[in-house]
Amino acid sequence: MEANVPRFAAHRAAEGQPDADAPGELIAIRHAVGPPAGDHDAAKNAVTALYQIHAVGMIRLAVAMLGDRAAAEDVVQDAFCALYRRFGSLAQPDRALQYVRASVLNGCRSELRGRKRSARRLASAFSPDIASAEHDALIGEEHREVLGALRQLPDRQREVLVLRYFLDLPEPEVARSMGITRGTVKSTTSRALAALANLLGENR
Amino acid sequence: MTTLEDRIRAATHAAADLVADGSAPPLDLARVRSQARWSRWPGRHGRLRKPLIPLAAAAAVLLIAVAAIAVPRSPDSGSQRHHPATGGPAAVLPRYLVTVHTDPWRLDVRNAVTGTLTAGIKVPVGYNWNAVAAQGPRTFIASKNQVLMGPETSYFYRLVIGSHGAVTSISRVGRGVHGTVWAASVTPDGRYVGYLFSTTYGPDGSDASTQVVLANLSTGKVIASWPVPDNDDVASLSIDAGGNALAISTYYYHYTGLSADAAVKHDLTQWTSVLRPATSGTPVDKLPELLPQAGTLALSPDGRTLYEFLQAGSVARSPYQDRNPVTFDLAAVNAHTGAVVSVLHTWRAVWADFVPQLALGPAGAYLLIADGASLARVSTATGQYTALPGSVPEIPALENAAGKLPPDQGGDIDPLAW
Repeated sequence: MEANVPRFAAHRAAEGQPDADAPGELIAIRHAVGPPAGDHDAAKNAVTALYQIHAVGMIRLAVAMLGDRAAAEDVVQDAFCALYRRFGSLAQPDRALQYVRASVLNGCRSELRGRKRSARRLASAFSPDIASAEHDALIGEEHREVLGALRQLPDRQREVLVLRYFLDLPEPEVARSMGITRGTVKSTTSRALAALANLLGENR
Repeated sequence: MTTLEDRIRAATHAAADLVADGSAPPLDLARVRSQARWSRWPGRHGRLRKPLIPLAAAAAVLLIAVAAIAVPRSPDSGSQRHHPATGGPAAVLPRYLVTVHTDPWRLDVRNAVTGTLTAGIKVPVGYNWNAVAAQGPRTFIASKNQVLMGPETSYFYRLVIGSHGAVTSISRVGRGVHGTVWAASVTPDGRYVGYLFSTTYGPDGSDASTQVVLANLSTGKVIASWPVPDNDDVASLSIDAGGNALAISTYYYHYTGLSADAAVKHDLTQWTSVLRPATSGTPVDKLPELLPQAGTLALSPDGRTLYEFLQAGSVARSPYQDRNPVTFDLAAVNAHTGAVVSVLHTWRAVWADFVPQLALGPAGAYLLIADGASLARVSTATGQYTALPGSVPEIPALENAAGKLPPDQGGDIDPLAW
């Protein structure tokens, strides 16, 4: 072995990353969805451009829902592939990102249901939370319990809490995102918090 | 704001923050062909379905929220991210690993993070699984060998793992190999396979032989082969993505005298070399030596970098006698010059007890390590070491790996695929 071998630090922090420029993002999206529908190359370029800008954010949303990086990447890839298949016939390409977000939420639901089915099928040999174990291990003890409890909630309750407290969306936006009424958001949030408190052993 | 809401916010952000800027894998639109018809998605008649229409009003807010909170744009966000070590595209992390086990002979499919068993593939009496290699994140090649009756023959099988770890298909590929396949490595496109095989008797009754072979997996046609001298053993084998190079580590024990305890009476010679088709026919001990050690190794997809467990400093000719801990490095080595480019991780262990298994993920972005029963992952770009929560059963000592004779230590040849 050579004496002066460079050794990597355990973590190399991301440095020099500029903050997101929201107006710039919007302009980029308009450019991305600009090409005419029906052109495969244009659709590919547009979807790829959207992906490059928003993939990490979508993966983070999926990770918050699933607690599992690999599954989150799968879900996001599927969502953008679905957008690509659909791109030529989108009535309003400007809404492509909304479509992707809805697909990601749907994909997360499917993934969690799939885990539950697997858990039932394999009984004790398979834990419903196996895929989340790595992230749970990495993010520290104080958050594991909360994430584990979140994943035990029904789909709608979990999504309400993630949209409300992870994305910090106000109730009307959560309502529009989920296609439910504002009243339903309120009641679902209330029930979800109560259920979560119960799971965590907190008194509310 | 109550404590519970704060806890939700903190926990979800802590989970999401593990996704680093610019770490998204490249978009794989090739999935489109393999996915189910898109009628499972909303809006199948050409328009977004009604429940999605209200989303339009939230679009700007959502975009800003995502952009401001979750998508800080990285400098390279405008172009496809490439893996710095390989020049190729970054890769998703494979979810499953496959290992070879005995008693009974079987392949185990496990979650690569938790080690949870998701499937097991046994073989009939008289057969065994000897080698396994990853073709892709969910596609593996394994060799099944006939060991009891009839001529020694090995066949390659392709295994496909489903979304929840079940084996969804097993199909035989290529022609049978006359002999026992001990180790194999396959290119990501499934075209080429490198393997180590031996025959007790040649097809025409000739003497036994052992060879490293580069072959077309589908047709079985041998492209190049390198004889392995009788006294030499191959400890590890790995092929590049183009089928242009095979890296092997090799060793032999030179007996210095007869003894009831021969294992402590002979010297160990070990080396690593890279085989290319142009050198076909040359015995492996006559090829240029890249490194004077024989650790478990993996060759990067572009064939430029070799990842190998190496003992730091010089290695004694009788290291099995030393019970003092020594330093081992997982090193990135220039596959042409043998120069150590970087050290990704370091261990302190007794030589004879340290037999970690190594598997390289797609695009060469990550290495999976099974050290005893524990699992860990190392980024080839940053050297970031992540101890994984799961574990796997220890690989049984069958053949000598990394030049360590049983009972000191052993293991099958590259029994781990990821």
